[in-house]
Amino acid sequence: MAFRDFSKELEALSDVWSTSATSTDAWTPTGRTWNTNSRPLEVQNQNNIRGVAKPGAIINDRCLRAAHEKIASDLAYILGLPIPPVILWDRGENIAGDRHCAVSAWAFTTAIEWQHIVGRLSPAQIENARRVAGAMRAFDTWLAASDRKNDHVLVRDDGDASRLGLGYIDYSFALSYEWIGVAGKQGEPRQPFPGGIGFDPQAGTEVIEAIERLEESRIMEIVNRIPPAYFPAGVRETIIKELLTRRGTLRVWCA
Amino acid sequence: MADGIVRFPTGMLRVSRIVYFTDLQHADSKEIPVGVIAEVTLPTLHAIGTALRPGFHDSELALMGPIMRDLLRKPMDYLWPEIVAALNNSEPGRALEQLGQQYHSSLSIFAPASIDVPRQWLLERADEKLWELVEHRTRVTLEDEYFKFLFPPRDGVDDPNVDTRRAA
Repeated sequence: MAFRDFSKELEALSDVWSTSATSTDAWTPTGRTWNTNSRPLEVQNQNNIRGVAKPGAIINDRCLRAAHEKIASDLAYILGLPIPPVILWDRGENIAGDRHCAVSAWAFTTAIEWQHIVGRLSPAQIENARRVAGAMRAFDTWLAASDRKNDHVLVRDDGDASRLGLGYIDYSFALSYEWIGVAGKQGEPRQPFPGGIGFDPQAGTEVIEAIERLEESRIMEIVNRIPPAYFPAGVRETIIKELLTRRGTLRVWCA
Repeated sequence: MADGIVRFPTGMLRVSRIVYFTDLQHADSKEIPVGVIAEVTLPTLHAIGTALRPGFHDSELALMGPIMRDLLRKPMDYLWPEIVAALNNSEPGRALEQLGQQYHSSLSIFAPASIDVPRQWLLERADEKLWELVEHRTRVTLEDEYFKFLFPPRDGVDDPNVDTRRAA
């Protein structure tokens, strides 16, 4: 069963963005920002695409937000997991904030955070969510994703009770965030989200098998194409090493 | 003042706008203004208030997702309990941040803008008098920010539903 239920239009965008780290898109800030951790700002491009760029300010916590968002999105894409497409955006030298950003596309045309909608979902949709939660638990464990919470699971608001579209956002606090010691290491496995509904372990096994089947060269390509300006020295190598070695213990952690 | 430095009392008055995006993915889509929220943080008082549209036109409701359309049919009924909960469950000065973390998709509460705190608020010592001053001025500010947000009017502008609350 597919874990990712995005529109054809969004998948077409994912097809393009997942093949490179940067694009020729000209992003323009609209002037609006959200008050969440990464101070994200709303942007739009010449093709009428609205996105969310982060970080929206210089945040001196050594978290490599843009690189993490991009790597997580690209890995999710090849595994068929529901993280919307992300592209890097170098805002240039004359920016007061952090010039090295990532732009995330929106997963759905209309969406609601999980906690506001869970009480209105059908039993079939909850069962579907348990499958996706099981799949994402394995993925989040692989990436050492922290800061996972229900706020970061968006649900498509389209009135179709026979399907469920989930979009997982905000992978800033993943990958090197723990691996280079910015934050202490959390226990494995990571908690399943959305929370409070349980999870399907078989879905996790399916994802672990898919992760194990990934060619090393594919993983390395996704990390290596991130421009050097997005990483301090040595971090790229740490991310590759951890992604490759953690694959071997995912089954044990997620058992 | 043991170190000889006089510390002036300080405070914050911040206002966030609430928007409903009818299409998150396309920049040329219609956005529906929902209202504004203000948070007041003073040394002895933490309060919140909101000015929300009393309802939406049928043409606006038709553009919303089905579940949010149901929730937002009466914006004050849906949002005010959430706003009060944020006031009661957050540190002073953090309620708007908490609300922003809860609503950051089709229904978005944006990062707040700061407004100068009236000096009178910082000088008043009596609690009840202070709340009286804060509540009155906050209501005026909320209505002013609401009409600024909805200006120029597209389909006519209804007076907002306004409410305020101070933390226990």
